Amino acid sequence: MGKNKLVRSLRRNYFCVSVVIFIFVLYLILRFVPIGGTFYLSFHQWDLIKPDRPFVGLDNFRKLTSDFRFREALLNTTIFAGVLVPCSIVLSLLIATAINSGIKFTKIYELIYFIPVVIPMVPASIIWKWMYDPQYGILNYLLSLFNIEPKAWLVDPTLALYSITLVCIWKVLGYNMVIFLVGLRNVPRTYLEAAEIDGASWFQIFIRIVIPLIKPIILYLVVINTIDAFKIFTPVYTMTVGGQGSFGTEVKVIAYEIFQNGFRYFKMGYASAEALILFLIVTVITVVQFGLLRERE
Amino acid sequence: MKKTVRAQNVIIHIIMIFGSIWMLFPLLWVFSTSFKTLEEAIAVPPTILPAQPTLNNYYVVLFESSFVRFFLNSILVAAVSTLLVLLTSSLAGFIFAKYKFWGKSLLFLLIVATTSIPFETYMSPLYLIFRDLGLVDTYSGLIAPLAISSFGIFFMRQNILSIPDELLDAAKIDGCSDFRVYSNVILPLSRSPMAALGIYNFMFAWGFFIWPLILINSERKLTLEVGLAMYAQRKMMDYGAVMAGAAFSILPSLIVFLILRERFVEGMTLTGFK
Repeated sequence: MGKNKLVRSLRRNYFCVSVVIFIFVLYLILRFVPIGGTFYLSFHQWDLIKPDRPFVGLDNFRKLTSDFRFREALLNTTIFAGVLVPCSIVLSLLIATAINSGIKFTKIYELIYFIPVVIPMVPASIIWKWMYDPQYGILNYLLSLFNIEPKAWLVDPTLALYSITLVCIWKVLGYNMVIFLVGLRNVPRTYLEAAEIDGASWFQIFIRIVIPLIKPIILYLVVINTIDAFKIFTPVYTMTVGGQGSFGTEVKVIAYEIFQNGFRYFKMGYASAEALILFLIVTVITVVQFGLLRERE
Repeated sequence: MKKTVRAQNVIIHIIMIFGSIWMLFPLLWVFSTSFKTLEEAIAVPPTILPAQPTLNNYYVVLFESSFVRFFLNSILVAAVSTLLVLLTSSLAGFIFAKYKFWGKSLLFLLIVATTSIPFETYMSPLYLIFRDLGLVDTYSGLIAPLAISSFGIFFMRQNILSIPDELLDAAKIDGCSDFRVYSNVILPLSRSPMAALGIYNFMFAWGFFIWPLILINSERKLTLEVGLAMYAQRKMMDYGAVMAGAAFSILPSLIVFLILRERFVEGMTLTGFK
């Protein structure tokens, strides 16, 4: 009887049950198990070439703390995010404000500033690499017009990180601008007019009225820009790996270290420990965002 | 008063034009270099537009390397994965919006929780699973991780929630099966969110870089992004040809963007409007 009931209920809900199982299995294979696998592997030593994978506890993490490559990667990625996020947020907010201030040709500006968003990351990096070329690049040529020494934009280890940051700012500005424009266009005109009648300056209106009203958007963009920044890989790989004929000139970032340890040296356990650190960083950022958003409500 | 406003506008325009040059110059430069001979590409002082334009670089890219193949691979991967994402997102979105089942809120929570987990954090275990499934160096392996999208499910659920239940009940009374309700009521009413999700996903799949880089060993299965990156590393000194390759891989999305503009912006910034 009970069994019959179950069969009948399954038959009636055939569609729902099959979709749920279908989606669940896909998620299991493509997301849940791999994510769990990262946790599992990070406590094991697993070199792909060897058959055994001993449990090593926190050994991988202990090694990480003294791995100067990883420390450099962590530092570089943090600097990258620390420069990229404020610069791109401030610049794109200014651009959006300018476009929203009632000047002419706004449609054309909107189009132009969005174009880098549309260009895929690899060709974008390759174009910039060509402009950054130490010998024939246009940027060093422009510098030479002002009698400034040519720079090794992507080879000089201290400069390379900032050269890459500049490309990423160039690429993300239009995206942030569009989101800001949505927010700015939702600011009620009457607020601004009332403040103007009261004699507030443009700057006061901007700081006291506009910024507080679009604060959730700023917060949202800070979070997604920061998460994206911590994942940086493609421009680093395309612009600095194996470039200029010398090894070791690549800018070390977290995702590149994961890639390198996992798929060049086949140290899956160690790479997973690095991946777990990235996971924790992103999780903390996400949780903080939720906390801040809830606080507002 | 009016004069200061005008002066202010002029300053804004000047700054915005400088910004526009920053935005557009790389684009001008890639197309310009791609039509130059090697001598002209490295000439000092550089010419802004090619003095003796040549199509040789494009000839090299189109006929003497695998770019056309890379391009078709990218189209295949992006198109199939976009269709799959639209299918899985709309199905799951429908289920989560309109059905009740055991464990529903837990499963939904788990799915949403994976939204912001970077792919880079679980690609190594995923690779090991795919190795055991024999999916390394295959198109299916390239496409599979892109077949589901947590954001897509969330987004479709939000949209399908706003479709009134009465409509679905009416269809059922008329004898529609659950699947018919999905295909004849839900899908036609979700056309515009699905278009936005489709554009978003196509661009995402097109630019997906690290996965093909680790999964694919044979050159003829590479996507355009990885193929271009490797080509640029190999032919580092042949600036014209590399720029022709870059120009070639920019063109499709640029053209689609210029035609669809608003739709495209809406799609690309989709995650921004949740």
